[in-house]
Amino acid sequence: MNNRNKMALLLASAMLTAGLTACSGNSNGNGAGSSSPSGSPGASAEGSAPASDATGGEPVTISYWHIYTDGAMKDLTDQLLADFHAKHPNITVQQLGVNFFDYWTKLSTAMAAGSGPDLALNDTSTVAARAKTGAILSTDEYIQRDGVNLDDYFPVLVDRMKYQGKMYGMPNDTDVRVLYYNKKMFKDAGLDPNKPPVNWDELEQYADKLTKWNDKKMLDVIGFSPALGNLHLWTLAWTNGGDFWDDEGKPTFNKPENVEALQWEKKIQDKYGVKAMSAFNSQANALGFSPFIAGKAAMIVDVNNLYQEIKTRAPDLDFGVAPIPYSKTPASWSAGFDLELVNNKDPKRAAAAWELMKYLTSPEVQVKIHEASGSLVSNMKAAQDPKFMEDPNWKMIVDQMKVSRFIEYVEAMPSWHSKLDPVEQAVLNSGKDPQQFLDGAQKDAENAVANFGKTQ
Amino acid sequence: MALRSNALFHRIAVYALLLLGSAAFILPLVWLLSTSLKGDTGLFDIPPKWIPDPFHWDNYKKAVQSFPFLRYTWNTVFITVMCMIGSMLSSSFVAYAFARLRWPGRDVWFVVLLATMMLPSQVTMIPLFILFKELGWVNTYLPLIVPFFFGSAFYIFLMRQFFMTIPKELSEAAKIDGCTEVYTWWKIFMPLSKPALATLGIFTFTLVWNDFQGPLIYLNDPNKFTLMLGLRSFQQQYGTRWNVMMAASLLVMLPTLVLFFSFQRYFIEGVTLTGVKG
Repeated sequence: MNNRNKMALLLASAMLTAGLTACSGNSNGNGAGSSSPSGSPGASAEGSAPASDATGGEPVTISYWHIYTDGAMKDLTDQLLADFHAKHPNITVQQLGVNFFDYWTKLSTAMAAGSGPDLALNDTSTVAARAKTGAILSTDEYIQRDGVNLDDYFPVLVDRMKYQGKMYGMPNDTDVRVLYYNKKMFKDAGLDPNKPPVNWDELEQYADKLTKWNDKKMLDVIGFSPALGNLHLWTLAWTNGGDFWDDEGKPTFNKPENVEALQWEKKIQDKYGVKAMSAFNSQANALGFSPFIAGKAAMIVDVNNLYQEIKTRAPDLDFGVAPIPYSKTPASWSAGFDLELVNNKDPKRAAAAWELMKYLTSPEVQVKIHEASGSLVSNMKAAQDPKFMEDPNWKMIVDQMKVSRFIEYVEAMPSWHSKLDPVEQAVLNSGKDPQQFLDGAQKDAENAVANFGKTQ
Repeated sequence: MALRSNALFHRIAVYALLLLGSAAFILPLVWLLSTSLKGDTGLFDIPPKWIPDPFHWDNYKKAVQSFPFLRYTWNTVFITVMCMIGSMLSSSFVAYAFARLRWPGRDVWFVVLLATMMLPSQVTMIPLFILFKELGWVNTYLPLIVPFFFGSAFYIFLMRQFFMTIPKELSEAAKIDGCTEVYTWWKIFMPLSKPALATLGIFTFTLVWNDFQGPLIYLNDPNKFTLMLGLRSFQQQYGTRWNVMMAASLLVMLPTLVLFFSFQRYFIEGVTLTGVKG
């Protein structure tokens, strides 16, 4: 009796859920269809398939894992894979998109068990680790055979793809940090909107002029804060001639140049004080987007992706893009995604995966990727396409690739940089002493290297 | 008189506390509903706007169109039902042996069993994955379902505690009538344990329905995905469509909500039975 009612309720809820989906039947079909073009591997092999150069035209099915699960890049990926299949009818691609945050769990588990995809989007900073263990294949032979010109790609990225002189994959896209500044606020403060700050001193002076306090002693506008956006200690230290590892692979975390950078950050941050800053932060966090877009920060160092966000959220914002102000040498920080051939011990699938890799990193496709996502693609022919370079902001972003660096890959401490963020926060938010905290970080790094040495 | 007004005051205080508690629990749900009906801007406004203007019902349309919703629902229902059957059968079966049979080392094995609850799933993740890969089960539902047919420590514990409360006379009478142990379990203990079984079923349902990591690592074919994987697809490296994600979340939550309200009694019994929240 009572149970019957419960069953009815359950059924009703199931039907409600089903009913809601029913009205979207059409597009469902689309989504499912395009997400697995693998449906009929037989069909593709039939007929007058033009022999695909590398794979000898034999039908082959490969898997490609990536992070595009929503929005423009998902649609573009579906489109690109369909185009690729039309060009190479014998190659069927089974794609799998997992969102950025969960992708690494998925990929690392699968690769650890030797059941990874044939082609994987992966982290450019850690190529060496996988090359060393033989988890991924060198692409040198393919690159030479097909005459792919590596000079077309940003040198810093090509450099990162190499292990013991050999290429392991191809760079896909990257990012770079730049200074964004609000031109209108510059004008209001009597600064020249065409002269962004070049060095630390100017940055500090401008920040002072641009900061606006209200009568409650709270911050309406922050001129510049190293705690906002995406300026990390190592990036600023690099602009001061600092470094965290020497040529022999020994840590140099407490090098004077690094300490200076952290001291400078602290000096700037202390002007705002913990109370005003935390009030500012709680407001800024509620925005759901950058305080620079909201006109709450006059200058900010952030990833090039912020440019894309400004274009969609605040197209009327009067702003400029400039190199990160430096003290001794211009520098910036890049990270990125590459494409890798996972070693599945199947030369035929590897060859087919290479075809897809070559296609995805070709200038024509990379232009489309940039248009869909605004990302800084690795192929310079695409990133520096004249129609993109007309935009002075974009040109400025691309130009930073000349001075931009990657995190050093240190086998003993692959994520050494993530250990520095808490140090920076402790100094900026809790008033800890820069020297003391970097000394501590140095000791930790020395221990990590020593412990690693024992395991070798 | 004084006593009565005192009692009244007492009741008001209790109700006020209860109201406050329920408000705290209902607030996230209301927020979920509110966000799911908002447009693309103003999601994080302070002070928050509780009632969106206008209502963006199209978020629900977008939600079910962003991934094959019906297919994922079916996949999830299938896995969940199989797991519920598996855990109810296997856990109660093993629990019967722990509760009613006398065999050497029983109590030691029971402790060993309980000790397995202390192993975090992250520790066993890669070895288990390799095991299932060697079996050729990756990209099938088997790694998600089969383990439930082999019992799990917590459920066995739960069923054992319940079986211990069933009078011995019942199983002894059955034995005298020539009933085998398996038959006793199936014909006498199972029917008497409906509340415990319901609790177990509900616990399994919520666990499997909401499981994310298992499907994430074992399934490669997007057509085999579950709702939880679909939900996460709205989150991107730069930015998330929160409103659409909340709309999808609400749809995914509905069965759990309905289940909770219809079987509330068993949820609470489950808590009192084990002293552990599901």
